[in-house]
Amino acid sequence: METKTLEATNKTTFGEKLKKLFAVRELFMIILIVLALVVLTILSPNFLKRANLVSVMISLVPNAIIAIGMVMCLLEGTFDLSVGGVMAFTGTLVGVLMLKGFPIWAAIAITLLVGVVIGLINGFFIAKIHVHPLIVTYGMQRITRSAATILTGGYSIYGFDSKFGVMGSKYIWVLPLMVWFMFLLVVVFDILFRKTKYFRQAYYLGSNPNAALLSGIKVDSYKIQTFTLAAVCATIAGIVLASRIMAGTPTAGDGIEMQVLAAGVIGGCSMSGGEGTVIGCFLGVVFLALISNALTIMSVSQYWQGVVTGVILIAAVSIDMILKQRRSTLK
Amino acid sequence: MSKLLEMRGITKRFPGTVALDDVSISLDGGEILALMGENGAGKSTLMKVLSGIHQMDEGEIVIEGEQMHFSGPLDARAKGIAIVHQELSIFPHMTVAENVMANRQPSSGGFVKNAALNEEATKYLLELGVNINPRTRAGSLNTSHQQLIEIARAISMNPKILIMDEPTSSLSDKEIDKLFEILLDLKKKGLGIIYISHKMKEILTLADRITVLRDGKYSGDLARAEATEAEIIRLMVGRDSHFVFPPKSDAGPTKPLLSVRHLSCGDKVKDVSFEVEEGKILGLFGLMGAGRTESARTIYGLEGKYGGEIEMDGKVVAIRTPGDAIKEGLAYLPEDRKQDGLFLGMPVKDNIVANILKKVSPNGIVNEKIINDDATQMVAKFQIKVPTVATKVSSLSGGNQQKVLLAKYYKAEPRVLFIDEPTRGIDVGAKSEIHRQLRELANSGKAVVVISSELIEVMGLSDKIVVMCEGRVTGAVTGDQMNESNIMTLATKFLDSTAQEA
Repeated sequence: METKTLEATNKTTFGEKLKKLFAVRELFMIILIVLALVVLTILSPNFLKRANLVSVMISLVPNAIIAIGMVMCLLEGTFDLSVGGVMAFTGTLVGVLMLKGFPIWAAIAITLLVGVVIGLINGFFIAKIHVHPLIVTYGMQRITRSAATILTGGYSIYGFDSKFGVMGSKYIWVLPLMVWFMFLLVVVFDILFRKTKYFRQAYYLGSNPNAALLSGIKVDSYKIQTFTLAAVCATIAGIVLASRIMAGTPTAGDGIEMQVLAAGVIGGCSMSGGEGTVIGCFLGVVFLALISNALTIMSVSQYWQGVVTGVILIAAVSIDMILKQRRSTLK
Repeated sequence: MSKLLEMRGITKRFPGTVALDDVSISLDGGEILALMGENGAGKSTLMKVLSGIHQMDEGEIVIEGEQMHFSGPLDARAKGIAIVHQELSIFPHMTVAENVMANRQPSSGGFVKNAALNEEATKYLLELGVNINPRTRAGSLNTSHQQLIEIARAISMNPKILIMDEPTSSLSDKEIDKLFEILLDLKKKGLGIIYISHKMKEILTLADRITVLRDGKYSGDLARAEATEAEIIRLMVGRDSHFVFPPKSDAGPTKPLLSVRHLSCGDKVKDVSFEVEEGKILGLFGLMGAGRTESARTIYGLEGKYGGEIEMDGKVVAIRTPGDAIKEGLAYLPEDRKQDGLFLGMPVKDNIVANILKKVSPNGIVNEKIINDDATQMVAKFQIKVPTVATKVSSLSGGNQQKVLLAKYYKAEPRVLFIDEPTRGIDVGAKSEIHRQLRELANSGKAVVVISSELIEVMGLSDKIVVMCEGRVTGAVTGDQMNESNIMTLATKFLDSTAQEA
């Protein structure tokens, strides 16, 4: 039979293999993180101390959980700016409910339900009314942040049942439960996005929306489900944070949406959709957390931290763009 | 026995136009029906109605005696209808296997079975004679492989009715032969196939019956035995084909205005050389992905750095940006008018003067009177049908939009005009008007380069045709040699299996 083979690509040289390996974003991220670890260890003797590493892990939990939902958005070429507000609102809501006398399980269940509703509202306006996600999710961010302030009168609220604090207080080995919970979610969702038919649809949708529609993907309802997952992730992050600090703070998660977006892009998500993984985005979160930790322990002024993270973000994405262009012209 | 498919009295309206007007077609099992008609005749719209993408306003679809109501592509697929679309619908970031089995991956408990996925996809691809690693990213393949992936996708659905909308637009002769073998095999198995193509040779060898549409209406039916090229064209354009195109230039060789030598850019333009003569129309032809549009874009400074030389009047010029190109007297009318060419939300007059803002703004202040005068003059010259020059471009028909674009570039007084797919989506009347205006531009001493994937148009319009394949120029034809088979041979020169790059 007359066939066309791709034998040429099977006979790869060592150099090409190396290049391919580097093309896997996760590996690039791990190298970047190891590099950051080495530099940080040299710069600061305090860095490698267990207490410091554990506190870094704890600090990145909300970002990592929110990243899962954000990856789904990014895969479809969109984003959700409401996650910070949603996290603050649900984090205070769960506390208010408990103070009102709801049992812990009921408070959590109701809060999760509220998260689902917020996601459905976002999704409805985006998919059905065709309002741009920037407007809808920014609007929702303002609404939820405001609602959190109204709910608490502008102050943090305290005094929950100590059982609620299990996420931060219970340790398995050296890490608190919340960190294990985060790992579990990240690993499970990474597998789901790689392996299940349902989540693969996000890749189809982002890679070619028109063709996705033609292949029978229910684009509208899938979009709504996407924003629902994003909001639920933010809600889980809100509850976990409240459990850890045993308080509901209306200012929690300020600016987290942009941090997670940046982490996603650094971790290999394309803003135009079709590319990215949960692990990649998670590694992006870890990398940014390390940088932020480094700035703190090297006592870089708070004023300067924005400059450093901004420069790193632009540099990381620029390097990626340059590598990509080179790859496509060399092809 | 009832027919496999009957579409009766289908009417489909879009805002401002009637795309389909009371069209009826029928199809038997084991039959290959060719659907023909000019661009904009309604073939693709009719097939989109059949495959559930568009919903008809009137009419009925009956499959094996059963009335159908399709509210989406999934409904149509469930009834055994598969379609290969004219536009490539590849998922570039995903693997070949995920493309073939798009959203139908074999799975258990919601988890995709990767081994089975790759196996299935490979099976269908091998049937088409394509041996591609199913794990390759589809975006890294060339256009002909991408097209084959889509054909494999349609066949893998085991349809009762298979619709193919110009499936061979980027395939080589060998690949087309293989495809035809498969179609004839499917036909033997009792499938009904609807085949859309502009290539007469394909239609006359493959089809059992030909249905022709014109301007959204049913124009006629021909059995293969009675079908001839002339008869088909008569049904397509509604008059004799000889009158369709304006007479060609009768001048002998003239001096070249623009010479392109060994132009290369990226992986789409490789060592391209040709000359554009004063007062002539040059056709630039190639299959999808051949690099014709990319060549024009490179010359116009849209692709950045290039290798080789561009000469105007025998002098090497450096073109880095479209601004440079305009200064040298070049103009480029893009393929996608709406996206790249027009300011849709702005009035006709502002579109017409968009390239000459300096001229209409003495001392830097925009002079409305000059704009109105200029625009009025252009509207008359190009016979643009508009109530006033202040009408928004978005409310015009495709043909009139194209004329506005022509006027805009004419005002910039180019010496060489590149026009990409000049009549795509334009109705027949406006089409020949645009052909006439292009010829007039050439006769007035300008050089025109027509880029088109429509062979009939390129042949009818051009004094000379440069043919490209896989980013290279494979030859040029003039006069008597300008026929379909010569051009197609050149257009598929590098698509033979052995020379294929992965």
